[in-house]
Amino acid sequence: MNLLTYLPSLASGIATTLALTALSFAVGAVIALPVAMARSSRFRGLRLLAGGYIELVRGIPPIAWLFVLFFGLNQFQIRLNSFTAAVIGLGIISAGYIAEIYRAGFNAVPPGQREAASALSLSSRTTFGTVVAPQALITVLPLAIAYFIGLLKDSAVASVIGVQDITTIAVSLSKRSLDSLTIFLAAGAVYLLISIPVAILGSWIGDRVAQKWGARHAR
Amino acid sequence: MASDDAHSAAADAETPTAAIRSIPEGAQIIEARDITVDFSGNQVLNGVSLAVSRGEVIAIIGPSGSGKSTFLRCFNLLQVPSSGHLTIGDTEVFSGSSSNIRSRDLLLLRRKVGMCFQSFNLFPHLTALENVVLAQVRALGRSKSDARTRGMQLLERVGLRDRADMKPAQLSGGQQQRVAIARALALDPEIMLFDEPTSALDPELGVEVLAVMRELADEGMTMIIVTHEMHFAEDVADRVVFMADGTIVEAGTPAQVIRNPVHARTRKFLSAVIDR
Repeated sequence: MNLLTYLPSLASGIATTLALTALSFAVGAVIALPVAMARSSRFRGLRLLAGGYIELVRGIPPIAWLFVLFFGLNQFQIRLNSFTAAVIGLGIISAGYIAEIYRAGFNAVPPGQREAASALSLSSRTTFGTVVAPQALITVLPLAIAYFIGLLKDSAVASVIGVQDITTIAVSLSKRSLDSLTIFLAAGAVYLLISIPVAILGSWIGDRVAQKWGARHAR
Repeated sequence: MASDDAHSAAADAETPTAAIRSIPEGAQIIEARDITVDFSGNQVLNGVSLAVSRGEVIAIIGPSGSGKSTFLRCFNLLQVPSSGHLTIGDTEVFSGSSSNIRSRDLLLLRRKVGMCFQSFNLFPHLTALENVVLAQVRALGRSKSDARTRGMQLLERVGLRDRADMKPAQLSGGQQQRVAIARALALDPEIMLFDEPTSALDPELGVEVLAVMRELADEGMTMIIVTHEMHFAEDVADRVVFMADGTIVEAGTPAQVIRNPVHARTRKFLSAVIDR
């Protein structure tokens, strides 16, 4: 029983897992922005809509989303390959979570900052871009990085629709071997080996940003 | 102060300001009439009126919860009144219950009316100079280099030229408030609002802020100041307004209001403030 025996075969799944995670996260991070803004809009209808979206994506298991996208859409002659379906599915789900992270970031900016910006005749777009977003980033980054690492592991769910990620490869190796325990421990080790550098890189970026944008509160 | 105006890219932005500038010293520049503010059924201002002449310095005093800060925030519509009329220069910026104020008009109003806050509200991620430059570039359309030149002039004026590259967190409270004053002046406002500018400061640091404000008053800036600094109000203000329970109880020269108040409510407040 040697973990290292299986590492080379599992390694081929690393690129897929990383690509799946990065693309889903990117899709989610983009969709999340309008969702978060709608969530804190002064229009009740928009707030409800965004709140509904967030509850919907968080309340339904990811596996169900993937089945709907991969098998369900087939019924309507829409055929997605498994990787695309997984990126879209996990992207939609990530958007719900990342929207809440953005909102936490916006809320962490003291209301006096927006008031000062208004009093200085800054438009709401300028206020968002030059006053709110840079300060929100300090709150958002660590949360977003933690979410990214979570997503890296949760992306294993994509194996159910046949994406050739680390988990799928581990499953197919185990079918041809009597050493399942070692194979899955090796798979776990691979996830760990990717997560740790991401976490280190993430906290380094977080520190740099906190340093660049200075102390949070003027006082 | 107007020397940089020629560089302003937003030419149309200067029109209303120019209209105000033509108002002579002593003529009416602000008229607030029957302003009410209602926070979901809770009446904070009950029909308050105040007319201010160009160059005048008004000190608003009164106990907490009297509505004085709320009233102050009406002058740049940071607080939109529930009813009443507000005229700045020759523009009626709020009338009756016109809840739909165009955002363009709001932006124009706020170029004319600058404001400083009790908690300074400097942008913590920007240096002192960047704080002063930001709105010049983004609201007035000045070039970056013009804005920096003007910014350095203003920091010099508040005695902080050597702190230009520091972040707010590296400055004392008094220095932060002086940067905030420079930041507001950078838009060449015609009127300055101060919301308890020294209340968050140690007395020693408050002095440097008051000195800058005194200078500003001496140069003829129209100012409305909500304050608990009675000596400053007495020395610098042309008129003192005492507010309690959402109304103006008494207004007049500092000598009248602070030294010889007519109303019992004013006397009670002043004895609590002065004789402590």
